[in-house]
Amino acid sequence: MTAGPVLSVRDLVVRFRVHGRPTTVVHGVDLDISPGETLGLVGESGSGKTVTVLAATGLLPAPPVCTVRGTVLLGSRDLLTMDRRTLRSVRGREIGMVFQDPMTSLHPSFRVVDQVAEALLVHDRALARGVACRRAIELLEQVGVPHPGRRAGDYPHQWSGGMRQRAMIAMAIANRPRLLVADEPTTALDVTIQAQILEVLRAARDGTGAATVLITHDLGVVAQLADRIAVMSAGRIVETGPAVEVFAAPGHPCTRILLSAVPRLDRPAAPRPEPVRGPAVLEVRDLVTHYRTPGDRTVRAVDGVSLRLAAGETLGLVGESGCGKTSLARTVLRLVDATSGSVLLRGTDITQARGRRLRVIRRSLSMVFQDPYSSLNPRMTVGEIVAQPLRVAGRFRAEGGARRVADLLDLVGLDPGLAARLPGQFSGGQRQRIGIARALALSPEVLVLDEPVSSLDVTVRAQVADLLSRLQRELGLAYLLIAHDLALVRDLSDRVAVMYLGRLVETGTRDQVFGHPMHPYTRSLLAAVPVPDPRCRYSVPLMPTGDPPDPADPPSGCRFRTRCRIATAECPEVVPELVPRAGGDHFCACIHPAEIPLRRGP
Amino acid sequence: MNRRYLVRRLAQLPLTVAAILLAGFLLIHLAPGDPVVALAGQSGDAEYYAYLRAKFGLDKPLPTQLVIYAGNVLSGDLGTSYVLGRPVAEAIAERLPATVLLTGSALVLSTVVGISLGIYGARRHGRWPDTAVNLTALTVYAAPVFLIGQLVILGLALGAGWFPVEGMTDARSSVTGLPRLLDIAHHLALPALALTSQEVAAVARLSRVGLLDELRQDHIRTARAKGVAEGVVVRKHALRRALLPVVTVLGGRVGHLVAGAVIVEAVFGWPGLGRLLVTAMQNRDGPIVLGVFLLVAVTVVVANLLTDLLYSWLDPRVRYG
Repeated sequence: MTAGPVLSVRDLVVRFRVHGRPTTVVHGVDLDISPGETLGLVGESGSGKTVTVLAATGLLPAPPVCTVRGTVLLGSRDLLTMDRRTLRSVRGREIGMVFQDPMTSLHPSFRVVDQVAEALLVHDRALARGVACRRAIELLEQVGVPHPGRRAGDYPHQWSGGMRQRAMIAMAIANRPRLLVADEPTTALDVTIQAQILEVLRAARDGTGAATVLITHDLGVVAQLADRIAVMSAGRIVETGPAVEVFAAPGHPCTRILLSAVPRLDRPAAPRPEPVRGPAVLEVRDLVTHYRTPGDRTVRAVDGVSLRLAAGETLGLVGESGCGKTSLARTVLRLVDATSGSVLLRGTDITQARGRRLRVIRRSLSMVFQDPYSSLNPRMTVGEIVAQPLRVAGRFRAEGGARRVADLLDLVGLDPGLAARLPGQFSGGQRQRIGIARALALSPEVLVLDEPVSSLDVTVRAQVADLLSRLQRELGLAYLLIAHDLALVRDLSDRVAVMYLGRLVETGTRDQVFGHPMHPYTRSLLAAVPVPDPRCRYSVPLMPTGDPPDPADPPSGCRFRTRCRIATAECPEVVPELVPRAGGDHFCACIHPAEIPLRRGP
Repeated sequence: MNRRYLVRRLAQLPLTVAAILLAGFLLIHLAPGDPVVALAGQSGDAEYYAYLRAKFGLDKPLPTQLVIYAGNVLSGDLGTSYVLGRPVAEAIAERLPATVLLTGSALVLSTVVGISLGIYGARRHGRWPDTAVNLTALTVYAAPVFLIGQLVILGLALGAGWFPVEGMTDARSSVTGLPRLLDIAHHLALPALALTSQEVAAVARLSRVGLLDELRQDHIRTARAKGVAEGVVVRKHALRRALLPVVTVLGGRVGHLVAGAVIVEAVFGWPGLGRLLVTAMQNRDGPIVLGVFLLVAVTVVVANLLTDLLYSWLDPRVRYG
């Protein structure tokens, strides 16, 4: 490399004052990023990745809350000693940044186009507003927003997460920066959209020639883009090296833990015990759940779904956000009323049950929620939380009172002695265990798991998944597992159903669906899962295009046809039915399922 | 903003006002005291009482009176004052400008000064100017309007002698042109200060907290990362949504301002609607009281509608339907 590094960080120390006590969160970090290079900065949450970059760009709170020492050279100028005015002219012009959550990173009260245009106007006072807006529309087009000119009046809430993240990227590259920083740019997105955004980032990087820092906890994501990897742990860089080498031979234990925590779809699945083909505990027949929106439109959240769940079995339900997975689960649990169709619990329809009968039915059905931080009442002790279902059902005494609570906590691997504590004193993984204990309190037959590990740290996910497997074996529970993490679904499920825009498009055993996916949607979902190996990057032709359509106005015929790469003139005409293929219990709803096997890699 | 919603809200307006008028009408007639006795004295003769009752239509049954009153209001006639012997609309119109001037300037003052103080405090969060603003605001907020009124009179009018104690104009001042305006402004200062101090305190506290909350948002970090100057970040990006609670409170407090004006007008001898209302109530002068009710009701309902409209402008995600 002839030129010096674009960004050179030396001995960066960041201290926060938490409750009056200074805490060092970054301990002397050194980093160099060469022109045109992409550095993957990886580590668990809390390892100091984001703080390092925010400190380098002066975006942390001012002292005394936060103090930063060291040097951060952008070219030859030190960002840390720069006056505020100069630093401002560097930000957004020489350094473009993309943040994690596109839902909150755009200003909700300003039009998207104006926000992109602002990035230009701030650094060029001579620029006319109209010109800046036209340029903003060009930028949005460049990052793949369809027809940005027609959407010039739109506010962020009218855009999908993927489109908003494209807008963030457009803003970041507006002034052709020398350095592009992307902080967990795809963490809040669906895997299909993640694949698209990573492609946009790659194009943005190649188009501007900017050196890039990609911050992420997901080694699969980093493998798609990074040339070099730096691994952070507890505020220090513990390993750094070329991406191919770090992935092939991780040196530091932290790297190995991170790497082993990544679910691998490209490797054989963990074996599962032979499923018991018992009678169905839960059967869903032609279930339809529609919502009315204020504008008198009908959102077809669930639009004719049939499922069967046997005792002791796990059915994995996968699909992008907004496809109706959660609505289906809520309807099954009677949290939402079905528009039509039936839900049979051990043969009896529960969709019409009311009052006392409904309460009895609810004991057999239970739910584990996605977010263990918001689904536990912060003012109730853990013991009270777990006892709550027992009390509501009037069975607290009958089930053994405090002893039952202690047993439940013990069952999920928590010390029963901690029952008097509040949820705030537990980690995310422990909280999810509390949520599971609560779900098990009334000895249900069916547990609905709605994204049970997706808000947990990568390294904790495996532990909670193991717990769920063990509980299923010991208690003979039937799981309806809703997740967008395909590798998790593969590891835990006996059968899998793929949902798209309110309908099932493919069902079968997990080996059928993951091993020989037939529906083009299933195949593109699987192709979008990043493999943590820089030698196996995405193959573009398998990617689904664009966003899912509006569930209030689904496309005619096959609903996937608008994003399908093999759609033909017939697809808008025929509504494809789920019909058995090859094995007999492998169903697919596509009029021409290609027989091309899913392959990629070296 | 969708037009159907606006039309529906406007259609609801007369209904709300009618309900308020009905309640006011019933309250006045259920309250103890007789306007005829108030007018003719305790020991008038029965014939004269009957004459007055018939003159004001008070001899008819209550439902009939209500129907007559409602019909008159619909045709734009608010009735005639028992005591003043002149049309209610005329009496109100005469006093209205003084009250509009007082409450209007209080509203503008509290918005401008309150929000400025809020920004000042939020930008110095945790340092002594912030604490000072916060403490002062809390103290003022906790003090009742009549107390503040008395204190400013004692301090600034009687003590320092900078401002007149009461009234709206000086008897010796000129009747036209700029000198008259200055004279009114001079008289307005203290009542406006007394009326506005609590609003300023409330707005300052709310906008400070709203701003502090807003400055922690992700989209503020985005703005800073774009290179937007800190002042613009605060005034353009953060303030917009920080104002949502302020707008709610200000809209809701238009009614309070009017109620506060009643007290302040009494304290400062300000010739506005508040004093008209107080006198009318003492005299059991029903038509005047109802007329003022009507005006206040319409003001409050319209202010609420404006608040909602402003809301969806400040945050386009807010949709009414």
